[in-house]
Amino acid sequence: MKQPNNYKLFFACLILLCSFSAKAQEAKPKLLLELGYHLSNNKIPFVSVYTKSKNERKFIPVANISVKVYLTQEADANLLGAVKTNNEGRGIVTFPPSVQALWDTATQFTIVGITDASKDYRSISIETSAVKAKINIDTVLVDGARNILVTVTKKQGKDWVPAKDIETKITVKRSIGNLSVSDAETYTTDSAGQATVEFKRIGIPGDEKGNITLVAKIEDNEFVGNLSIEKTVPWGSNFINQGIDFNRRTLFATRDKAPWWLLFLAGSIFIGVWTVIIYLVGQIIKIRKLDNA
Amino acid sequence: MEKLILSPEKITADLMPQAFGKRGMIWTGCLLVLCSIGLIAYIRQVTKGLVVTNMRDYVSWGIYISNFVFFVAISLVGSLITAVFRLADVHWSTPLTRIAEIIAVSAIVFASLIIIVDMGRPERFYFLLFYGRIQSPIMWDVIVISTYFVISLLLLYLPLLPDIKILLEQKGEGVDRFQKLYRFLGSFWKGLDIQEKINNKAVTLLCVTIIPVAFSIHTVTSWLFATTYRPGWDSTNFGAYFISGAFLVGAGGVVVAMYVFRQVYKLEQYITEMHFDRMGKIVVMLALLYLYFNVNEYLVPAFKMKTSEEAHLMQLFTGEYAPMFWFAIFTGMLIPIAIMIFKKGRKPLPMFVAGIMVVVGAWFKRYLIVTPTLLHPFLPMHNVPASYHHYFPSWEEWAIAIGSLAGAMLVITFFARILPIIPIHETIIEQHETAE
Repeated sequence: MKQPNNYKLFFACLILLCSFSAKAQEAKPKLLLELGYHLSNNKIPFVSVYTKSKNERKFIPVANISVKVYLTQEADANLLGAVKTNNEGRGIVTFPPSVQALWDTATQFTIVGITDASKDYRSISIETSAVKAKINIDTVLVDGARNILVTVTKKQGKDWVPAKDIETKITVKRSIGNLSVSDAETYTTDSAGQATVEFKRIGIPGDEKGNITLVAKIEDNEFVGNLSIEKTVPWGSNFINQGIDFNRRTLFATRDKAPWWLLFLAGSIFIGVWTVIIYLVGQIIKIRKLDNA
Repeated sequence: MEKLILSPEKITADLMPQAFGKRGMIWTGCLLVLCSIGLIAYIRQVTKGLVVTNMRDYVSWGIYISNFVFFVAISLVGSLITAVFRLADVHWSTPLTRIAEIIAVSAIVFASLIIIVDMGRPERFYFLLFYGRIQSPIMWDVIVISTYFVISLLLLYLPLLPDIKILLEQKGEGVDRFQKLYRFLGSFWKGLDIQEKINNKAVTLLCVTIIPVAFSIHTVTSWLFATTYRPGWDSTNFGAYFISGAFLVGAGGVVVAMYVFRQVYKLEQYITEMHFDRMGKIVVMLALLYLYFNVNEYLVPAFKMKTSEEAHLMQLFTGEYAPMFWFAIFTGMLIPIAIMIFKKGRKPLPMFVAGIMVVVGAWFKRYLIVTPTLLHPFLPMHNVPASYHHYFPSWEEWAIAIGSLAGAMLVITFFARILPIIPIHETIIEQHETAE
C-alpha cells in the first residue's frame, strides 16, 4: 500500500519542480526588437534598431543591448554593422561599402537583426523585408497654381517601375515638426506611381530669401519601408528679423548682457550698503586701537 | 505702581549666563538628536539625489522653500525690536533686543543653509556665486541675505561689547569656560567715553542701515514668487504682504522666547508683565495688518474668480488645502487677536500660547503660499504620473526641515548659554537713570 503513495509523492514533486522552473523562466522579461529600413534623399540607406520590453501593459525602452544587423541572411559577409542601443533603446546602422555589390543587385531584400544574450535577456532575432524603392519630388505649375509632384518607383529586375498605392506625406519643414502643404494629411500614389498636390501654404515664412524646404515622406510602409526626400523652393515669404535677439542687454539675456540700468541700480545699492558695513568694521578696529592707545 | 530699583551687582548676578541644568541638557540633547536625523537625511539626499524628496516636475519648491521663507520672515524681528524701537527712542524694549537679535542671526543662518539643501547638489551654490545672473531675483536674494547676515551679526556684536567687559570681570560656573572667547570678542573694551561714543554712533548707523536691508530681504524673497506669472503669486502686493507677515511671525517668536527665557532664567524682574502687555498690543496690531493683506490677497482674486485662478483658490477655500488654509488663518491670526486684544490675554501664559499659535500658523501659511500654486500651472498637467498632481513631503524632507528648525533653536540655545540674554550694561544704565 505504501509503494504507490511514494510514487504519487515523487510525481507531485516533479510536477511542482517543473512548474516552478517554468515560472522562473517566465519571470525573465521578454525583449522585443524592431527594425526599420530607411532611405533619405536617395543616398546611403540605414537601418533603425529599437529594443523594448513590455512592463505592466506599457512598452519600456531597453538600453545597452548589442544588436548585429545583416542583409539577406546571417553571415559575416552580409554584416551591415553592430550597434548598442542608447538610453531610449534606439540605434542606427548605416549600410557599409562592403555590401554595395550585394545591394546593387537586390530588388527585394531582407534585413536580419540579432541581439546578443545578456544577463537580463535572451538572444532574439527578427527579420524584415522590403522592396527596393526610390522617392522623388518635383514642382509643376498647373493652371498657374504651384503643385508638388511626388514619384515613387520600385526596382523590378533591372528596371525602376512605378509603385502604386503608396501613402506619402507631403509637408513643409518648420522649426519643430513639419506642416502639411495642403488640407489632407497623406496622399496616395496612382498607377504611375505619382501623387500631385497643390501648394496651399501661400505666404508661409521662409528664410531671409524666402526659401522653404518641401519634404515628401513614406513612413513605416510594409512594402518599401521609410523613404524621404527634400527640395528647397523659393515659395515662402522673406523672414524679417524684428530685432528679437539675445544679444541685446535685456532681463532675459545671458549674465554678461544685463541691462545697464539694472547693473547701475543693483551695483549702487550693493556698494552703498557694503560701504557702511566696511565703515562699521573700521569703527570696531578704531575702538580696539583706543585700548592700545 | 512704583518701579523697583535694582543694584548693579544684583542685575549683573541675575543676568549672567548660566550653566545648563538638567532641563537644559535634555533640551539640548533633543535638539542635537533632531539635527542629527536631519543630517542623516541630508546625506541620503546628497548621495542619492533629490529623487529622495517628493518634489517632481510641478512641485519643485516644496517644504524646503516654505521653511526658507519662514526663516527669512522670522529674521526680520531683529530690525523691528532693535532698530525701529531704538530709533524711535522706545526704552521699554531694551530687555528684548538681544533675544530679537539672536533669533534674527540664527534664523538667517538657517535660511541660507536651507537654500543650499534645496539646490540638491551643494556645489551649485558655488556656481550661483560665480556664474549667477544679476537679472534673476534669486541672485538678489543671495546678495541681500548675505548682507543682512553680516549686519545682523554686527548689530548683535556692537551692543554686546560693554557686556563682554562685565563678563570678563566675573567668575563662576556660567562664564569661566568662555573667558577665552570673551577675551577674543571684546578684551579691548575698557568703557572709555570715546569708545562709548563711537559705539553708540555705530549702533545708530547700523539701525538706520538694517531697516531698508531687512525690508529688502523680505521684499526680494516675495519677488521670487511675484516675478513669475502663476495663479496665487501674480500680485503687486506681495512685498508688503510678506513684510507684514514677517513682522507678525517675528514678534510672535520673540513673545515665545521672552516667556521661555523668563521662566527658565527667572527673569520676572526684567521681562515683566508690562513687556508682555506691550508686545501683545504690537502683535495684535501686526496680526490685524497681516489679516488686511490676506483679505487683499485672497478676496480680490476670489471676487473676480478668473478661470486660471479658480482651481487654486477653490482648493484653498474648500478643497484639499482648505483645512490647512483655515487652520493658518485662524491659528496664525484670528485666535491670537481674540486672545491678545483683551488685557487678561496679554498676561505671560496666554501670550505664550498665542505666540506659539502665531509661529505655527505662520509656518503653515508659508507652505500654503509655496505649494498649492505649483500644483496649478496655467497649462494643464497632461500625461504625468498621478503622484505629480499631489505633493506630500518625504521623510527625508520632513527630517531636514525639522532638523533645520531644531538647528535654529540650538543656535539660540548656545547663544543664551554663552551671552547674557538681556543686555546687562544697558539695564544698569536704565536703572540708574530711573533712580535719578
